[in-house]
Amino acid sequence: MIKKLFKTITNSALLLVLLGMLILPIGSMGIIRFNENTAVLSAQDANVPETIELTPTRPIPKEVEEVILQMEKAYKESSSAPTEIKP
Amino acid sequence: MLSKVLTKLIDKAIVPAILLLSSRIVAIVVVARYLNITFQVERTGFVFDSAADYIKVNSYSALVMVGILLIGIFYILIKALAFHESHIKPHLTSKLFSLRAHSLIQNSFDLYTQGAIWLSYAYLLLIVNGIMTLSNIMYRWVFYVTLGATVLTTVLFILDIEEEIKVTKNENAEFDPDKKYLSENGAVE
Repeated sequence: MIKKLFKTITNSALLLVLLGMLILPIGSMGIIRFNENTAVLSAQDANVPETIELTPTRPIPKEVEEVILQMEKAYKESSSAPTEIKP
Repeated sequence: MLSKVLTKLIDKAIVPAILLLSSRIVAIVVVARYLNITFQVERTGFVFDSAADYIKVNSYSALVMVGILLIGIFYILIKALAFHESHIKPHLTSKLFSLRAHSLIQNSFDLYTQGAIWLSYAYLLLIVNGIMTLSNIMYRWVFYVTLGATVLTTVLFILDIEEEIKVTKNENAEFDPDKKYLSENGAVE
């Protein structure tokens, strides 16, 4: 019984050594890496356009709203007024 | 007490492990120098300045590894296909003995343990190269070269195993299982 147990343990150890030897050279594939901090401008860089907020999330102040309404009114008047035709 | 097969496999794994490991390290340095790529050596390994440089050095050094692997496998394959103890041609045996190169003649146990080790490395390299190709850190064609080399060497090993099976079957046929003559003479009922 003890002999069998000893045999199993030694053979398991041998198997681990063998697996280690198989993995060692393949593990060497990971000994190189690149510095990710360097800013490289290339075609691979992400080109994300700046987004503009179209819907206001904060409440608009009264005076700003009044100015905007006045500007809108002035624009409507100028666009609806008949154009002068020179003789 | 110790498993004979495991001991033999460990024994045969030492040389390819050292060869592949050293070839990878040497290839990284040589390829980087050849392509004028700067790198730093840190505790974790070689660090390159850009991803493009890294991909280039990684791909070419992996290719060197595949080359070394192919040389090793083809050496075993030549021994297995031409100088295999079970099916070597008599004139070739005499020639090898006259050239004092009879150590090339090996039995199936030696050849198949070596073959198993080298093929294991080939398949492990194929898996790692596949993962690297999928992660876009290796050129696609390097993976295809590894795949082609692995498939080719596997097929050649299978051809040798088939030859071995054929020889074993022929050897078995020498012992005639026909007991008709013995039963006629009353030796066997």
